[in-house]
Amino acid sequence: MSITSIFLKLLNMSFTGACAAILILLVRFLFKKLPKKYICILWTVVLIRLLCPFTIPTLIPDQPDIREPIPSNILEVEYPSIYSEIEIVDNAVNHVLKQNFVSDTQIQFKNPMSPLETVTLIGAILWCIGIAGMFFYTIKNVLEFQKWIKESVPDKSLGDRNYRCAVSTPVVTGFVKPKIYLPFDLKEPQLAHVLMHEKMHIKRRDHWLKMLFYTAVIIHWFNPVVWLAYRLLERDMEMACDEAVLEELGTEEKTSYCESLLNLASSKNHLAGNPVAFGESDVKVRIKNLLNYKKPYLWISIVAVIVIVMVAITCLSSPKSNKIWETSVTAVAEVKYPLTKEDVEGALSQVDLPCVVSEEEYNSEIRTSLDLRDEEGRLIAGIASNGDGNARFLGITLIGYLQQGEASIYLPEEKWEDLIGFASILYGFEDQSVIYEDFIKNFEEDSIIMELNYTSEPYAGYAREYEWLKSYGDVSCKIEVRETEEGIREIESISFYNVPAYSTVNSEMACRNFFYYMFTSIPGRYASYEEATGGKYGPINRDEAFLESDYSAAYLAQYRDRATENCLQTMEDLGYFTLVDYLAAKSDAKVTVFDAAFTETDETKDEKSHKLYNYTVTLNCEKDGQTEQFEVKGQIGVQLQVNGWKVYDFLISDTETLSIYVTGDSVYRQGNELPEGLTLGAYNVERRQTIRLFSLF
Amino acid sequence: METPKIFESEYKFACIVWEKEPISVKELIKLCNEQLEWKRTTTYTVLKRLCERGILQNEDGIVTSLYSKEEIQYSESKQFLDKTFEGSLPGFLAAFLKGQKVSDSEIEELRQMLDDFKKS
Repeated sequence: MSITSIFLKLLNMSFTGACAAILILLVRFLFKKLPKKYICILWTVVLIRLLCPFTIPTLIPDQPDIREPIPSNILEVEYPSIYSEIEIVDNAVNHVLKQNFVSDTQIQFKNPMSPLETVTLIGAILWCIGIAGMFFYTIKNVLEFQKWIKESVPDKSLGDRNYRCAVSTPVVTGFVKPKIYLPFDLKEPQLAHVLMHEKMHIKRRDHWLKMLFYTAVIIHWFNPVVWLAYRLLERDMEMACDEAVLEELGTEEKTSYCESLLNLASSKNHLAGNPVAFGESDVKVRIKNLLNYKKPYLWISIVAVIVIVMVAITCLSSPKSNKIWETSVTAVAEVKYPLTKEDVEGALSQVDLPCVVSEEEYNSEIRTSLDLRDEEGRLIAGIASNGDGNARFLGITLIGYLQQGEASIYLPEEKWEDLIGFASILYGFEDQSVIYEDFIKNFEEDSIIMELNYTSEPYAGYAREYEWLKSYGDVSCKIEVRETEEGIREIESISFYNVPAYSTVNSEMACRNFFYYMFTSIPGRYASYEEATGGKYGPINRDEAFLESDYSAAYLAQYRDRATENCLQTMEDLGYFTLVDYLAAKSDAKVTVFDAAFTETDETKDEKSHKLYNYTVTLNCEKDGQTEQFEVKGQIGVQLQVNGWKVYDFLISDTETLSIYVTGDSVYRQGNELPEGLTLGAYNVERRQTIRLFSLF
Repeated sequence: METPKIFESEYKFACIVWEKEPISVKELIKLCNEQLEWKRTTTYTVLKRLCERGILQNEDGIVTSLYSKEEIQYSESKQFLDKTFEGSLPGFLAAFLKGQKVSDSEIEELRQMLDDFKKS
């Protein structure tokens, strides 16, 4: 647990403790006749709330409770906000949070600490300094007091543990074995009363409660309500003690006890001569309380117990903590791009959503999501538009709070369908009911963030991803092939490198789609995935497609062959070709990928710590009934940056020559020599040319 | 010469000396520990103070008094000590009367209130 999370927990405890104290103030005001011993029990409840970080789980459904306003994950979420249920507080604080602390992933990428974390840390440090100050001040006082009572003398006439000392008012000290210190000049009849009073304190363990509450004051030194509570506790404790003494003395002694109080106070006052502070003095309050005091009827005690139980339940059994709820649902859909303000407003007009989209939102260049805000500007929902608008995935996020598994979402539940309708209209997703069902399921399963993936019908359009990726020039991919026990070569993994990092979802999807594109629909050749696969592989579930790994080399070669027949010109027009295609076209041979492997080296390329990999791609060349295998070898550099995202910088090193090794006859020939019987026209690739790895395929 | 004043705790201490004098410091420390529950340092401090004020004298570890019990002027130290006491009273201690002081008018008011209560 870091100091910031402890501090946030403490702020929550301070807030809920203060709320509990205010509740007691209310009870204290409403039930003035209530014997003070019950009020003291209620103060104990406040004390527990201030010192104990845990609460009992809610016992009764829909009972009143005091919520912790600061969500435990506030530092981690994109849109920090608090939730105290006090509208004025929430609005004011959340306005500030919105203005200054909405976390920007771009900024976070550079700065490990968000502004909100910084502010929290500063607060936490100040808090610690305050505690240290209070602590040392208390220690200093205790030492001075120790010195003060050092010369006290025991007064055996009053029994054990009673001392006479140069104090101005009787004092009880000691935690386990308390001692009573009395002024030398305290004489009868006050002496008997005072002694009874002090002994009653000890019997009631008042000095314990006071000590513990004082600890709470030290910890919550910045909270004025806690100070006020402490002051009133002191007063209530004295009154409760007075009442208890009176119970023992009997009502006949009431006036004489009050006179003792008054005489002590006036003699003290006479000597000290200090001016009166605000409000009624403690003595006046205590005497008035005693004069009005009557032995409580049974029904008063019953009412008191009920009140205490109710207050205790309210204060002690509230939900554990808040969490900001950012849930999402993902669906596949065809997207119109770019989205215009008219599109958004058009879609909004078709549904009944209490939302607005800010002008900034329309103007943002890289629109990865559309934020929906309520009238006060509070973020209530977000729709992920998957990057630059090439999105086919639809993410819907609701903002709210999670408390004990129950979500309090800003957007009322009856509006959820409208939200999904809005997103569906905007992104052209037709099957709204399916999304809605999963969306509801999402809540039932009580998960903070859950992604639901829909199996979509196969569709053409991977070209879009291809175009998008291509615009980032250096994007490359790595394909690992393995051989199964049955001797079928399968693609084990495909990795993409140098993919632009600012939009993970988008990049990832583009890479996946590009993968399909590469192996299925070369531009101008196949209208769809289905056509490309001849219906053999069925509809794609994007995630499962990778798991199945059913793209055997033979399968790939089949499409490669067909592609090379017709598509060279198209590819060259695009400024892009594969080495295989190139070799095949120029040599009049049938070239297929036989194997590809990458091995990590210990070398690094430069100070940016590019890691160098050796690659070997084996090609099958078939011509005039003869088959030869070629190996293409080279080195590539890889850079890894991890900040939640994998960012690859994949460069092919300055390979002097692409060496072709001829295998098959166990004959290895290096350099630019041609294998016999083959006339490959262009195996000698230009020197110093940077080759995208996917060009090899 | 004016008779020196002696305060409450000091008086209790001096009583032991008057009773047992002449008494060795070692014996005095033992007696103070038994009767007054004082630590050795406290006894030393008070002894030194009373010697400085010329009430007692300590010669080679033997303590004797310079004034008799009847000659000495017993005084109440409260006013003198009170000034700093409140300030150093730790907040968490249960004190009988603490906090705000009472004004004279308030005392009058309360007396009146008590009288009325007694009559009724």
